[in-house]
Amino acid sequence: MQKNKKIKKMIFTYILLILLSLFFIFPFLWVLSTSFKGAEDIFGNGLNLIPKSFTIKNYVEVFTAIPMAKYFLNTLIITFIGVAFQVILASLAAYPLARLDFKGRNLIFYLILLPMLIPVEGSLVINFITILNLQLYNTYLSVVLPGAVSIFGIFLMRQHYLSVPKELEDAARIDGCNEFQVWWKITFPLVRPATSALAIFSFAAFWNSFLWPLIVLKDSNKFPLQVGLSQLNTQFNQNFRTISAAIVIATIPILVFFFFTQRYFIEGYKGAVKQ
Amino acid sequence: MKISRKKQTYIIAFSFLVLPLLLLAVFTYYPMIRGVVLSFSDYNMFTHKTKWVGFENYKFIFNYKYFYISLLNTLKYMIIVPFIQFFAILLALLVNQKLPGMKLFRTLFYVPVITGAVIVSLSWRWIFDVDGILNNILINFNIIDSPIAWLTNEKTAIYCAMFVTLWRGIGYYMVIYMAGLQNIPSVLYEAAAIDGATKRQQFWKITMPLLKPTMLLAFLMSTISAVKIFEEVFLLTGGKANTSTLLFEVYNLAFTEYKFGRSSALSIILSGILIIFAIINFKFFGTGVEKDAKK
Repeated sequence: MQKNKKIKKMIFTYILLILLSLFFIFPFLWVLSTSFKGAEDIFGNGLNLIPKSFTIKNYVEVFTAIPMAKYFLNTLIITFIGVAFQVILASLAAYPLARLDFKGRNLIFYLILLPMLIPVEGSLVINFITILNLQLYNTYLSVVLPGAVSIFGIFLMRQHYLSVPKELEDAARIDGCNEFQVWWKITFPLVRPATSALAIFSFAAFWNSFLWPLIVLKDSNKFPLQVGLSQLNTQFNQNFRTISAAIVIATIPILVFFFFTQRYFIEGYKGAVKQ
Repeated sequence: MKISRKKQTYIIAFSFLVLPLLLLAVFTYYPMIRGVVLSFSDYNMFTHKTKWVGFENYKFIFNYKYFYISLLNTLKYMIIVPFIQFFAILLALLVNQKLPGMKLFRTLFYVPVITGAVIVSLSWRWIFDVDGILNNILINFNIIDSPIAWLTNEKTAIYCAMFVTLWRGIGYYMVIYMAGLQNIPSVLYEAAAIDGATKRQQFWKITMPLLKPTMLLAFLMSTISAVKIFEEVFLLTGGKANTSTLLFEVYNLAFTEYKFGRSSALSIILSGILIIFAIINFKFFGTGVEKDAKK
């Protein structure tokens, strides 16, 4: 009897899970199917998920009509510079805050956390003016710089640095390592999981960033994917089949990336929620 | 000459900190201060000249029709916060079970988060289109007679954007709740089971109280992002059909009308609203932590 009830519950759980996953991926399935549809397929009954006339014409059109490859390259450049900045700067800033004993340490730490507690939105306009004044308008660097230091990253790295045993450091010091070597050879390698998590988080953030690049980039040859995609509507004059093909092309890399890194997303949040 | 150990540590610490702090200063602290100054001034983008105008920008904002429309929409947007939290907790509980294939379902629920606002909004834009699938379904099932222009109709547009934000947010908070659930030590459940507690009692006496800090963090995060909503509105409706939100107006005033002072004044007001909500949330958050510490 007991076993029967358990199986019933399990079947119910799976049905629920399948329905929910359909709810979450349905728009993508529809976009995928539309991207393979021909002109005669789109009108009339839009419900058909399987195209009547299967064609890859839409994909060909995407690559010939818009600089899709260029958008990809731009996104890659921006993302890699951004991730490098975030990982290096957070690792640097967090180290003395966690491991070194000096006056004003806590004050600096609280100062760094301050913007997290007081969310300020004024930075959009001011940072734009700063970028203009630094003569960085319409450069990749302008996209990256305001997000180069992540407060979340510093916080995450500090938490992980704190867990490194003091004895290891002392042993290294006795062996004649200077403070920089202690950081680079002992502490930094020991927090690899946190570094990877941060790299993955910032990868997703830079890859998907939209508003800021939209503001500081003028030249469409420098557009990352997200900004390029958002402009498709005017370029394709509401031709949804071609836009769907572009959406599919843009979605695949981030899905592949997520597939290989997904465990870090949960692990990363676990560290952050722990407090 | 030998430098004292204390001084040495100081130099080392600051050589680590100098670059991150410099960037924070330029792109985070400076805008906080400069934003306030700019909100009382008129800035000319071409000459880089700033002219003090007193409360003119604020006067403009408080007489600006779209300020009230966007404020109302921002408040409307917050309705989704409790819904996101509720569904996110349910999903987290559902996928936190040890059953085969669970990893796949987690991934599927997280897909809208990882694909980002642009792809999500573009996909939904065509679902809500006049010729889109939503109208097709509704007409096929005889729920409506003629297609509705969901995204250009003043009665529906903002709710469509809210729905997309809700749909996109659930997976994100699900992961946060999963992390929260996995941080609850399993010994607690084992001990409770030995003492004869039912699954329901375990949920209300162990899971919910221990999930409280996570819940408050998630509430804070989703309130703030609801107040700062921009992308879905911008990409789905372009701010038309009375859908603009506060951040949309900040963007609009600065980057389509080039009124940086007015835009700054509005962002100061927006920050004020955010700070109020952060304080409210932290009041709860603070008490949550205190209670935990007393245990």
